[in-house]
Amino acid sequence: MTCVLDQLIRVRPRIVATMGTVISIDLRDQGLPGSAVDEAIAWLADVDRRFSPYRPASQISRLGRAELQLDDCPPDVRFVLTRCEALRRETNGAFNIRAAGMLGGLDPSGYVKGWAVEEAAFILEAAGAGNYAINAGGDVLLHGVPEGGRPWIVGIRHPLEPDQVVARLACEPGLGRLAVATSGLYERAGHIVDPYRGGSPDELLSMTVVGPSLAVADAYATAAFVMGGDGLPWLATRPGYAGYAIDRELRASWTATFDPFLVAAAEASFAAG
Amino acid sequence: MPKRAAAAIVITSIALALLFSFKTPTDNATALGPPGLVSLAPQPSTSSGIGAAGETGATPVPVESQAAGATPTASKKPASGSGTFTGAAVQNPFGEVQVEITIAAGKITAVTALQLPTHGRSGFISQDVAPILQGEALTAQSARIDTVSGATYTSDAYAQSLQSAIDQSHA
Repeated sequence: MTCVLDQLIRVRPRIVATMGTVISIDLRDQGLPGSAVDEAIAWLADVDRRFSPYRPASQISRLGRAELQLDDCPPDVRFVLTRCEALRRETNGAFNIRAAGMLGGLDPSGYVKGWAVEEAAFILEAAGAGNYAINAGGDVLLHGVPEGGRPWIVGIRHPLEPDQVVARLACEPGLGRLAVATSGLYERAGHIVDPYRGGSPDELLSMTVVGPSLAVADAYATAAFVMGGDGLPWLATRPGYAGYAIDRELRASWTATFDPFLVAAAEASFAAG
Repeated sequence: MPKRAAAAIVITSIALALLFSFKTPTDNATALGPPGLVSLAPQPSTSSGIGAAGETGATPVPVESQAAGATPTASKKPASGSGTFTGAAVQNPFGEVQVEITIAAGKITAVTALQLPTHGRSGFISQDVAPILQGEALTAQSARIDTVSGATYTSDAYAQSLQSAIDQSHA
């Protein structure tokens, strides 16, 4: 859709509690039918119902208990599990939906949330949305601009101080969709398991990944967080993705490819809060 | 130029061309580059280090000029089939890389890195988080940010999050 800057509006984002977290949908295009957002929210709720490992009756839970065979599942369930298996191989097992969480069985949440948001964004784009930010519990998908004259600015949360950020990213329009996903244990302890050594990974406090796909960025962030000190070198080999890590000593490191996204303190003054 | 010397140069040119067309095993890492593949120390006869530097496909200038019969500018002793050759500086995502090759009796005896990426071995940038915070500590009241990326909060914890404050602050 053609982006007409003077037609951008700013309204309170739509907030929906689903998938165990809260999703904020911040649309800046004027004149979009509200039904498009309703449709996107209904889609997210449907994904939660069918994919949640926390719901005993979900298709994922039934698959994990072997009550359901993969061949009997809908195409999108097969697609998600196929992608998760490909990511397990690509990450040398660091992303593993069979080792994730404390539930046993399958937990593809590290891929499903990002994928569901990407699909929801397609619903919004089909209705004409070109300028939006969707924040799914700390994982962000952006497109276009928030208002004329400046890009979307994303803060990376300080791992120990909930009301502070440690860095800001500028997401230049024209790149298409941009995803920012962060993994860490400071909000929910124990939900990421190291498939190699067992227990929780403890080398890093957080790992943030930027790239075109939120589902992939989310899975990469989880994998690189599990990899600890090896996470950034591994991310540097992934075309199109960049990483930013904070270690236990509160030192930030990032791949050289992450550098263009970072906003210096002096350059951020144009962005009003 | 004596015939024998010209033959020696052609041979070394082929050797150089072979060397510089050597691909690294990790060919999936072209766009962003594997920063760890370029070694800091001189690497005699290590083809993988050169491969990483020359991966963009650039051919060293001296090879082309010699093959065309021009006087090799970087060669010190062309008549004996020996000398030191300097490759063209090649740009990779982390900076310029340039290598020097020493040839004795038609064989490559040493490869030395002359220029290396400014970010060095890792291609990573590190700094303490704390100084950034002192300059950029942001609260919900002064947030110059549109949205926040962080570890996934529960729906209960959202109310206490910076994202919640940002959402509420709009219009």
